[in-house]
Amino acid sequence: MAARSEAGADVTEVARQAGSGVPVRLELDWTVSRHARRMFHLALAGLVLALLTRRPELVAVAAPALVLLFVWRSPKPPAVEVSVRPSATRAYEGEQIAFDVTVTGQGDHAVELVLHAADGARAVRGEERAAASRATLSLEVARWGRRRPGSLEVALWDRVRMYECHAFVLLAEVDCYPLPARHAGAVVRGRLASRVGDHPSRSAGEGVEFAGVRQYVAGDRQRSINWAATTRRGHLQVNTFAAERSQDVVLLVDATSDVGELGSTSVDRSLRGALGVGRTYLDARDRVGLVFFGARMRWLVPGLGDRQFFRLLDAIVVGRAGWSSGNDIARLPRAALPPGAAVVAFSPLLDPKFVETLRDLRQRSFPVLVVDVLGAGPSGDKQGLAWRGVGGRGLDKLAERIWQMERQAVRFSLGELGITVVPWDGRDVLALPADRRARPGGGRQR
Amino acid sequence: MRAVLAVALLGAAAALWSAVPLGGTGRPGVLFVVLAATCVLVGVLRLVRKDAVPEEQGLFAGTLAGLVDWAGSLLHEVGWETGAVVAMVVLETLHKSRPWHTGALGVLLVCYLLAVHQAESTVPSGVFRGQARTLATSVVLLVVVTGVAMVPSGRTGALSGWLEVLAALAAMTAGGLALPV
Repeated sequence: MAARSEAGADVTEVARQAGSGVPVRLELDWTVSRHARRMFHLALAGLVLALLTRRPELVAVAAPALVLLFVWRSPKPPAVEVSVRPSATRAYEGEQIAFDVTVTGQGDHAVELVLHAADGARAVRGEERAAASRATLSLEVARWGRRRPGSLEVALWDRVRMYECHAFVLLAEVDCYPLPARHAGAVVRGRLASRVGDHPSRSAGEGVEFAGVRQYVAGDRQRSINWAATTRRGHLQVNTFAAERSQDVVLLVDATSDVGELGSTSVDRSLRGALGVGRTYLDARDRVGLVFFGARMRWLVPGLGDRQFFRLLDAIVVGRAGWSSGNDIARLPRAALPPGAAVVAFSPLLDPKFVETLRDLRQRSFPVLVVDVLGAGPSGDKQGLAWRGVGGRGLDKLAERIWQMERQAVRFSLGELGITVVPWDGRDVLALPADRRARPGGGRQR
Repeated sequence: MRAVLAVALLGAAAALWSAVPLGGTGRPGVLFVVLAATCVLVGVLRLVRKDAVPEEQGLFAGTLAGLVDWAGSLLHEVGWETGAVVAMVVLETLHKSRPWHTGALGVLLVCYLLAVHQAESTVPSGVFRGQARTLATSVVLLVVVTGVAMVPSGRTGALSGWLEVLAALAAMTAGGLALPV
């Protein structure tokens, strides 16, 4: 069945079910422990030498070991029931998940529980092991993705620890979402669609932001009369307000290249940044959509509210999104990239095809803002060490300089088209540009 | 780490206890002292490195990498503690008969093996739970057998030694059956 005595054991479907909170029966395979073998050798050495040398005191050396070996012959349970109940099946990066573990049917045998973290998870010091049949153990999910965060080792020992058995249970799958980046400011377009939102627009309407004063006409509400202006001018004046509108924002994530250290790659940063920006716009009642630009494109139609935020998370982790073969932006449906939507792209700007796509979008009159997530250049990047040994420091510097110039050229060409590139290292607050000229579509900042 | 320190101290104490007096055992004694000390040291090294992450690929190359792998497997697979214990018992037999000294060595060796087991356990706090009475009983039995061994034999001859060993075994069996284990 599902139990074995060594780490890395084969785990059957029974063990998989145990990790999802359903109590399951695990067959146990008892073996002699290393401790028992050592005690046996001590007893054997004492007895053999006592007989060979005819010295009775050496029997005393063997006596404690023989007592312990004698006691091991107690009945052992053939199976136990294990239940592992996770406190959550969804978490953000860096959050801890507690697992309530219950083992029954072990009799008077000692139980040890140890959580082994898999890739993308970390053990919580002091909370990953316990010597009890009922315990709460914790793991920290460190990297986004849908995966089993690890396995639970259930070790059983007899009273004097001469016999042992180890059973392994896979933990339930957990959806770990990228931690949204801290984001300051939100770019608002100058021209907004005629949908109710939170951004004051240029047109007059029923908002709260004061726009001006005009003469009263029949049908105006009495409460909007500006009495001070009326007194000054001699006839009725009313206040006017800016209409509040929303905008469409499409987050474009470049997944064509993924560079950097594990956990802080360009795609990791892009997703964290996209979620941070998406959260800000959704809080401002804007419609936010998502487009993954990889070997093929996946997209999520812009939508509103908290539900859309969770759709974004699911699109990232689970892949619940529409998709199209190839990565031609022109093949995206109109609903995925509505006309006039502000495009916030997250990219390391390493793939010429993606850069060309940005140009294409701008030429189609989409306002585009690019967040450069590459961070360190080759000199600060471990991947760059590969060329260190080739030509020495001089060649190294020259190569880096050429590389920097090429990137400057890309940024310049994008800037010429009205695309602003904002560098972001993934750690600081993601601040979108305050300069009016830098905003997509020449809008204003909230 | 405290458990590993306890292993090192108990191993050193047991090796020293079985070796004293240092000059009384000749060359075989020196050989077994060195063997016991080496086994204790390597055993401690095994415990220190039990949770170590394997070396990165490419740190060593070719024959050196093979040697490092072989040394690693040797460190983890050989029963160093067993070697140390057997070497100490043999070393004790090289000395003249001294029952109380041998009995104390027996206690030290059991403590050493228990400390090794605690140090290599994933949950050290649970090691002694439920076996305190058994351990106390085994020490009582050790004292009983040592006491039997200290009773002076009235006869001399080829069979007297065997008879004494058999008497000690009988005392141990009787004690084991009588004591509440």
